[in-house]
Amino acid sequence: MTTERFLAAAAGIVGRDHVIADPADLAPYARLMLPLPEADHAPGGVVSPASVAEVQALLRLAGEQGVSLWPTSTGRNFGYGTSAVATAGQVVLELRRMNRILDVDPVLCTALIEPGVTYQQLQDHLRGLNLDLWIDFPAPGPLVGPVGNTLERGGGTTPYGDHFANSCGMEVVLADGTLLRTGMGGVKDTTSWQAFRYGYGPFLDGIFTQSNFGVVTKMGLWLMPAPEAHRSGMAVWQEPGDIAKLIDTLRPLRLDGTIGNFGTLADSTITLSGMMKRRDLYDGPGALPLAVSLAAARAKGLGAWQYFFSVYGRPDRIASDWAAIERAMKASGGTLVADVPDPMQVGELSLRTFSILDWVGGHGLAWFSPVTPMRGADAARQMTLARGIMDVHGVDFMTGMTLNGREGLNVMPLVYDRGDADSTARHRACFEALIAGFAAAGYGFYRTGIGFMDQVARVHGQAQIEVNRRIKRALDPGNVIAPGKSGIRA
Amino acid sequence: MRAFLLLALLAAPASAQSAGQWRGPAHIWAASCGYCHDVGGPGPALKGRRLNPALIAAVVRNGVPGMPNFHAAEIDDRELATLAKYVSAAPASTAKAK
Repeated sequence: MTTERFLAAAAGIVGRDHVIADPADLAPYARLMLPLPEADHAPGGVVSPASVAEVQALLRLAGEQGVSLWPTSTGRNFGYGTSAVATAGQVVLELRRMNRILDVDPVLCTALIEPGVTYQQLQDHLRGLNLDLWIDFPAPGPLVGPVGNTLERGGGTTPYGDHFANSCGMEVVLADGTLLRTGMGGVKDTTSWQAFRYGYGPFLDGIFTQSNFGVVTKMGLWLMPAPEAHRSGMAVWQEPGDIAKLIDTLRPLRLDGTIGNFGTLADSTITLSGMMKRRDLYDGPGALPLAVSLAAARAKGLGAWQYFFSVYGRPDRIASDWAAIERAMKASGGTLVADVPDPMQVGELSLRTFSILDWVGGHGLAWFSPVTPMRGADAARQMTLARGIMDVHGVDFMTGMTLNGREGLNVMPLVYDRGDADSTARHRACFEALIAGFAAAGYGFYRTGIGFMDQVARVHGQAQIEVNRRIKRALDPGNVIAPGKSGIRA
Repeated sequence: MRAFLLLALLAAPASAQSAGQWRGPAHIWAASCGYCHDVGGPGPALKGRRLNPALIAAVVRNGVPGMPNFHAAEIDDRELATLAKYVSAAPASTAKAK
C-alpha cells in the first residue's frame, strides 16, 4: 500500500507516463543475470525524473512515506545486478531521462554530463563537434553511460581506464533534498569544477561511489586527447603455470608506463568464448576441463594466457616502448603478436565481448572480482584457488584480468544457464564459496553485485561497516536511498 | 569558440538514447542492435529474415538467453513497434559489426 501511495503521488511530480507500477511492465526491470531469485530483488515500481528538482521532490516524498529508492542511470549493470534492487520492493529511481551533455571544454578536455548520458551519445556528440577526444568505456560501452559506471568504479582499456580517477566534480542530491556540489563546484561562479578534483578540505567524491549516501545528478569527467599514434598487441604464454612469470614481467612495464593501459589478461577459455560456443568444445559433466580448453586454444595458435595491450604516444616513443616490450616478452618465454586490433583500447565503441553472454546460451552472468596484488606468486595463488573452488561446483573457470602497476582486478565471469535451476544454485553456491575462500586467503574485492554485498562488506571488516552506518545515519537516517547497497544501512 | 560550442550543444539533443529521443529505427539499430547483429557481430543476423515483428518486440523487451533486455525508458512501446517493423522489412545487413 505504501508503495502504491508513493507511486500515485510520484506521478504528480514526474507525470503519469514516467511512473511504472503495473507488474507486467515492471517485470523487465527485475531481470537478473546473477544466480539469485528475481522475486528477492524485484522493484516495487519505477519513477523517472527529468530534472534535479524532480529528484529532490521524489526523495522528500519517499522520506515522508517510508519508501526506499534505488538509483540507476541506464540500469545496465550487467552481471552485477542490471536494474534489479538490493531488496524486493525498493522503487527504481531511473535517471535515464536526465541525459543532457551540459558542457564540453575543448581546451581542458573535460565534460559535464547527467546520469542518463551514454558513452555512444557522448562519443557522437564529440565527433559532431569535430573534437579529437577519446572517451574510455567499459565492455557494454554503447548501451551504458559514464556516470553509472564511474559510480560503480568501473574501468576500461585506454590510458583513462580508471573511470573514477578520471572523474572530476559531482552534483549530489542528499536524502533530504540538499544539493551538494563537490570539489571546486561549491565556489560561486566556479571556473574550475572540472579542472581540479580535490577542492578544499575532505575529498568527498569517493563516498558517493559504490554507496547510497546521495543521488549523483551531474558528474564531470576528463577526456583523453587522441594520441598521435598507438600500437596494440597480444602476448601469449603457453602454460597455465606461466602466470607468475608473466605477472612479474608485466608489472615493471605497467609501473613505469611503458604499457599505457590496463589491457586484459585473458585465460584460454575466455579467449575462446569470442570464437565459439561451449558446446563446440565440451558436453561432458562438470566444469570445462583445462586440458580441453588448452588444446582448443593451441589449435588456434593461442595459449593458456593472452595479454591484450596497447602503447600510446608519439611514433618515436612507441617504437622505443615496443622494443622494450619485445625484449621483456622474449625473456619471459612469451610470444608477442603485433598489431592485434581491439577497438576498445583505441577509443572505439564495440560490443564484441558480449559473445560471453552466449557461451552457454543461458542468460546467466555473475562477475567475481577480487583484487590481486601485482606479485606473480599472488596471481598464481588466486588462479589455483579459484579453479579449485570452481571445479568442486562444476563451474567453468574464466578470467579477464585488468593489470595496473600494483594491483590487478581479477574479474572472473561465472557464465551459466539461468533456465536450469540446478546450474543456477550451483553457481550461487560457488560464488559464495569463492568470496569465503578468497577472504580466508587475505584477498578483498573491487566490486560485487546485489545479493552478495553483505558478505563482501563483512570481508572488509566490521569497522568499515560501522563507519559507513554512521555516515548513512547522518545523511540518510530514513534509508531513503538504496539500503543494502554495498552492505550499508542506517 | 565557447559560444559556438554552447550553441552546438543545444542543437544536438537528438543524439540521446532514451525513450522519445531516438531519431528513428535506423538510429536505434546503429547505436544498439547493429553492434551485435550486423555482419560478424556476436549475435545472429536479423535483417533480411522477415522475422515476425511481434517476436522481435518481445525479445527486445524481455531478452533471450545470450541477449539482455531493453527497458521502456530506453525504447518505448511505440519506438519498439517501429523498430520491429524496420528490422522485419530490412534487407540483409551488409554493414560490418563494430
